[in-house]
Amino acid sequence: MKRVIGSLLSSVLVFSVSTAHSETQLIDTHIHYSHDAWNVTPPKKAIEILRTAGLQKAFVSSSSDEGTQLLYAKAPDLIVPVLRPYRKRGEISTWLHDESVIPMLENLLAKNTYAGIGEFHVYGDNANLPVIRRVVELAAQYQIFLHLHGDSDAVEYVFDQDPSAKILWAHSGFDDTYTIARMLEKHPNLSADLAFRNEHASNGKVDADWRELFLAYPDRIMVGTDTFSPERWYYIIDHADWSREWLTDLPTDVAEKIAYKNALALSNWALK
Amino acid sequence: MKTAVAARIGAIILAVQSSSYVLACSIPDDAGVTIEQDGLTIGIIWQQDTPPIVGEVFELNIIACEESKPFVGEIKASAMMPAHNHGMNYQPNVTMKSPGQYLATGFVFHMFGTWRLKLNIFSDERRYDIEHDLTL
Amino acid sequence: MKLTAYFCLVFLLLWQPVYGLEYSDQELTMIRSLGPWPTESVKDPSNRFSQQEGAIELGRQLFFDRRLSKDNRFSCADCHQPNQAFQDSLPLNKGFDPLHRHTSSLLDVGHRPWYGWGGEHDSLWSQSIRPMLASAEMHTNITILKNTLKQDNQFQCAFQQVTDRTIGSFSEDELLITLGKLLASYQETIKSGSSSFDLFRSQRIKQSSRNDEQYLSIDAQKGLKLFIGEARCVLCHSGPNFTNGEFGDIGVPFFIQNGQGVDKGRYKGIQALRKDPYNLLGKYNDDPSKNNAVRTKHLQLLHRNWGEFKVPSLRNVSQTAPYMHNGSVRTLVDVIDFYSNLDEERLHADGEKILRPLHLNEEQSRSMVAFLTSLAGPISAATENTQLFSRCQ
Repeated sequence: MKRVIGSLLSSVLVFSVSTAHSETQLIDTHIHYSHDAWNVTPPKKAIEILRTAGLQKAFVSSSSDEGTQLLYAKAPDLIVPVLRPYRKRGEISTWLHDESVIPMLENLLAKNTYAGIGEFHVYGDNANLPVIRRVVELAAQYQIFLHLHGDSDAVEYVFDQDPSAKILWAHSGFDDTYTIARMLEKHPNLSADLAFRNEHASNGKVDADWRELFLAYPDRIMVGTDTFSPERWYYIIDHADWSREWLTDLPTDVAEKIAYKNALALSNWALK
Repeated sequence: MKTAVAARIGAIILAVQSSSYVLACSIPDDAGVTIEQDGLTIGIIWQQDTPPIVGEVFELNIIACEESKPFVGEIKASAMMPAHNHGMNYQPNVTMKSPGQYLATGFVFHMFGTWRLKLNIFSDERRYDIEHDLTL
Repeated sequence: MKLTAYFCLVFLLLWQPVYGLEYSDQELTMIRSLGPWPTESVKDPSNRFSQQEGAIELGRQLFFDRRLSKDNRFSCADCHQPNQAFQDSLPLNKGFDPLHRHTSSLLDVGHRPWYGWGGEHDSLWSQSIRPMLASAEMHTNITILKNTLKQDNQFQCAFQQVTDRTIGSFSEDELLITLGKLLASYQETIKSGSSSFDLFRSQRIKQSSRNDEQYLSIDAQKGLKLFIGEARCVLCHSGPNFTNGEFGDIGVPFFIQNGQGVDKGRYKGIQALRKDPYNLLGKYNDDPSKNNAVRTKHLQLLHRNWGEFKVPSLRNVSQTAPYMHNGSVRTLVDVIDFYSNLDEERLHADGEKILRPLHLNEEQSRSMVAFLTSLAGPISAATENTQLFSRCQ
């Protein structure tokens, strides 16, 4: 009897924890689980953090990919695996000159399931380097998206190579709303993530220029945290709270799309 | 210093208010910064007549004239360091004191280097995006 | 021969020895910005007791009074020790429970924009309330404290002399705030004096480079050049107090020991400040104009605040080891090593990076330490002045 009551109580507790964060469904499209995070936040704890944040799904890419695989094995319902072309931290500016990256990507793509390739860093006409060209081809071959951290020029060059490529533009290029709007207008296959951006909302209120962008392109924007250091894993929870707060300042249908529907559609397309 | 700025602003306000039909608008000769863009002229008067000091709170008076008439609308102000691509830790607030006269409060430039002051000046009909760089 | 002797004489008369290093105009501007020191004492308008001698003395007595903690265990001075530059020289101290932040030095603590490693407070008096109530630190509560102080006739009398009211007439909230303000009045007097660097700076400002080596060694001057130049320390450690008063993430890990998660630093600091009933936007700010609350009013909560910690003053920094918010860096040499081998992968930057590994060689590291050591001046604080309350004896 005691056991039954105990299990009922624990169900109630679990339920109340999960509902505390689930008023608005949310998908985080910008998470890394790199080698220096594995020991301090082991996979079990990492998944617990994602669940505490009330996330429906989490797009995870890691340096090396082993981090993503560790999480995906633990929670395939939760993790959307994305293939990062870095073996370890510190390859942000060197990877695109390193042709050994290509066979590594080819092997992993043949072996595992991925929704995209990225997040990778590339600026300007470096997007025309052979390594990037091959990455764009691989994404086309596997029908998955590219999570690109770079300027609008780099995005343009990738679309020149493959107009049908699907790109998730990390941090929306740290660019202003006009440039983001111009790029979204020009490229129907471009989506924009808001990771590590603050300008769009303050104290739960959406900025007027950003509101205009969100209302003009409600199907193309997504949220993300960017766990660029191990401690930032704990920020996923606070970031989810922060996101839910400003999303309530938008019309419900737009908020839902930005919160999770757009990300879910991208994930479903890639993992079809 | 403060009195001189107040007197100058007072004179402008008086000039603006004393004209019943066509409100006149001009930028004081000794405004810290004057910017002209697409028919809009902006004058910036630094608090206490001195440009910002690193780490100190400051405010600025903005005089906005559109074709010599006071610009009536809203101003959104922010600032960032282009080299490092980071902004301030504070969010300024701009209020219109009288037609063409705005007070922007809540600025702190917390680092040496070049800061870009951004003013989005808009009404229902028009919008101007003004940028001004200053190096501390 | 005569002519040669004449030229030699003229040369000797005209020649004046030049010491020290040459500085560019830009360097001199930076050097000028690092003073004058000490700065003039300014009253804190949020604290009606600021700079009142009775309040300073009563604040001093409270600072050393263990009755401010549960079971009379600790006084403020047990962690902020006067003979240790008003800190404790430990990485992490222990009150009723282990602490996860290093005890900050109280030198020059008056008139800062923010207090606490995360900037949880915007006045020295509201910051002074926190450790009294924190369960891991002094762990008292105001009901107990009020009763204790009420039973001390001598303290009652001095308190009434300073505040014009009896302890009993104060609500608990008012009493707590008043104790904070008295403690702050004393702490405002804790100051560092003119250092070797300040003497050098004054000399340089007078356009004179002669003999400036006697104030600042060539080694330290080389360190200064690095500090304001290539190493770019002055970007954050700016102004006479060698801090811009803000917060930064320099890549120091901020996990809390024993698997308790992370110290959110400035992020939580801003959240706490906004909820703090004693912040400068509230009714306990003694400045009716609230001009001193502009920063609090305009503060933004940003993603980058996660794991940011206060940029500390570098005044007397050679006497305030260990370093960083968690006391994890033992010596000044280790601090220089930290910046020399900075892990920039931990930092998020778009555009030119503010922080990058300095890769200093041994000589440069030595110079930096020599310069930082030159920032030590004599420490002073208000001393015992009990005769102010002689009628209470």
